[in-house]
Amino acid sequence: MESLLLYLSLFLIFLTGWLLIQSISSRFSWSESLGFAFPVGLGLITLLMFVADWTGLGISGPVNAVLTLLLFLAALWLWAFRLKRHLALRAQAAALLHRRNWKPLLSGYNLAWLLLLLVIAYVEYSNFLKTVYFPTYDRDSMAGFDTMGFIAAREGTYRHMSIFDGNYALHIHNPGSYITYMPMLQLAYAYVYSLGAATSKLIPALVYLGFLFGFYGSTKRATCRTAAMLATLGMMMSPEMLSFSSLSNTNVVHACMASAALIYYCLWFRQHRRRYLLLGSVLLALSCWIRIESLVFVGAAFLLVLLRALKTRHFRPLVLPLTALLPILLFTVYAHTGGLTAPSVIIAHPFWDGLKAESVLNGALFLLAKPYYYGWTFPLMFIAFLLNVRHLFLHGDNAHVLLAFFTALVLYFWGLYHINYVWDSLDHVLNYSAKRFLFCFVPVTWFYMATLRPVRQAGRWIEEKLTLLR
Amino acid sequence: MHLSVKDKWWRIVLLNVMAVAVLLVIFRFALEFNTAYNWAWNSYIKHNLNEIRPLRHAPLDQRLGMKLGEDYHYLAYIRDHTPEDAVIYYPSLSDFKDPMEGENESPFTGKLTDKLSALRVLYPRRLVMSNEWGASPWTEKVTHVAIVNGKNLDKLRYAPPQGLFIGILPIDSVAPSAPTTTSVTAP
Repeated sequence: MESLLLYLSLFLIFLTGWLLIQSISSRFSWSESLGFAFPVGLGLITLLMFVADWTGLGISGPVNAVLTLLLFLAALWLWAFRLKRHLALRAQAAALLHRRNWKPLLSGYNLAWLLLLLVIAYVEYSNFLKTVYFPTYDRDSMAGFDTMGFIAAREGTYRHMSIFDGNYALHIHNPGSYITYMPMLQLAYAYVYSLGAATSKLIPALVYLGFLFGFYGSTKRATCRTAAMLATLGMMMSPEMLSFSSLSNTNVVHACMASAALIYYCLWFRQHRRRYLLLGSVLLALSCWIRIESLVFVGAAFLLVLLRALKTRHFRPLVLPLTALLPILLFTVYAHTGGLTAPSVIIAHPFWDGLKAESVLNGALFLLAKPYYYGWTFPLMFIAFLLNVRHLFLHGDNAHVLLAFFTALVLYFWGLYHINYVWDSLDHVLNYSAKRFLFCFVPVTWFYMATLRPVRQAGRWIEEKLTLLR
Repeated sequence: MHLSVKDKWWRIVLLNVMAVAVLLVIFRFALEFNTAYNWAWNSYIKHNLNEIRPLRHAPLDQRLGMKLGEDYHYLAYIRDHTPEDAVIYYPSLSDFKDPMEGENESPFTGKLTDKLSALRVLYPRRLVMSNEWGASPWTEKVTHVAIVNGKNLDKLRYAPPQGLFIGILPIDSVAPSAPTTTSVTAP
């Protein structure tokens, strides 16, 4: 019975996300909607849990189940309302239901695409199985996210958990303490535990599985389907990211949301479609709800919107990347009113420390140049950049992607330089935290390579020759 | 040259087969010349499947034991031999890692020595860590002492039993069910 309620609730979360994405625009493809429906629904339900906890309602199983149902009904109402307003959309839905000729849907595929799909399916089958088979065992999750979610579910509260009590956990208010972590994933784990799950691993497993669809769908917006599929395989085979995707810590889930947000901002920058900006902003807010370091992606997204706004003299879209900061503001107020605080580790004044700057720079170069943690991802990007210099200067080919990529990267390492390492060493942070943070750049890198002008042109030419069904 | 529909079809099939062959060569090249891809494919993807398949119905304790080894078996042992309202003095990292007298190495890796990791298995029991001993108001409420590698016997308020190196004991008196085992691994 508990399992039934759990799976039903997760399905409703997925449907809620699906309906909301379709409410933004019915033009999002199946792969995009499939890909981002679960994380969008999960982000919203955890936000509701957060409010319920804040208002004293608690985060017990029955409360979470009722909140899920209410959220689903609200999403259904919004979708139906949009459907009613847009008759064209209704006609589209009717056409899909009464479609007689499916040939156009099946045309344009080739054996190379199919082989790539099979390899991705095999890799993800193994990865998904491993993820859900083993309960949480990695150190960061056991010493943080998963245990916090588990105890929150058992005690029916996040804010007043026993492990947040300074008398019981003496070091809870030390710098760098887990008490200050953004709470989305902990609440997501509390959600599944409160509904009877034995482990929390379904959450990272479903988010990563969805992301594969979402990444393919979003990349295909700017290139041919074979190049998009190749990029999806290249991205997923990034060894360190693949292995971390089976763990319960926040890194890969955050990387999925942050990179997808940046990709949609890049798509919007080139194609000027409002729906990309809206979905990008939702995903950006989600990434901020997972990890505070996502501020660097807000910075990169804001820069893209600002450049566009200066060109078009249309400044209203500037509000959207800033709305992604709302979860951080909300949690800051919640934390300060609830005593979930620790001394800041940020050095807020300007300073120069040559040795520290050199260490940060060397750490960054080491991570980007070594073809180990991320496979050939970053070296290939460097080669692609060199080969594409001509198109970059002649047509500005993917210059906006490079700009977003390097803005976020520089902001991140600049942030590392401004941290006072009182709870940990700089070397340790570079070797572990920074290594995992760079997961966010892996999908963006593959998106960059797959959508370069020569790749697009060559891909379309090859697909034209290979298409099995026209 | 004018090709018939059939010839065109065969040409497309041939081109597809060539494209697949090129992709397979690239895969092979990547696995051959990059150790990380090789690890991902051969160890992570294939090995995981082979490891999981024969044990697909294993209970959660066994699955965690596969990943966390003796450290987890020890925690599960404490969990199974203490009441839920127990307040446990929990050993430090050095207690776990320093081998007991006469041994070359400790059976523990020290993976589960922080409070939250241990609580993930022992909750709702309360823990007092070695660096909280004396400073935490919970010190007075400790009901059990976790013993590893013969360490922390001095925390007991009675003469410790002979030959106990690994286990869990009440702090005040030896309960009838108290274990005196030297191994926590399930037989």
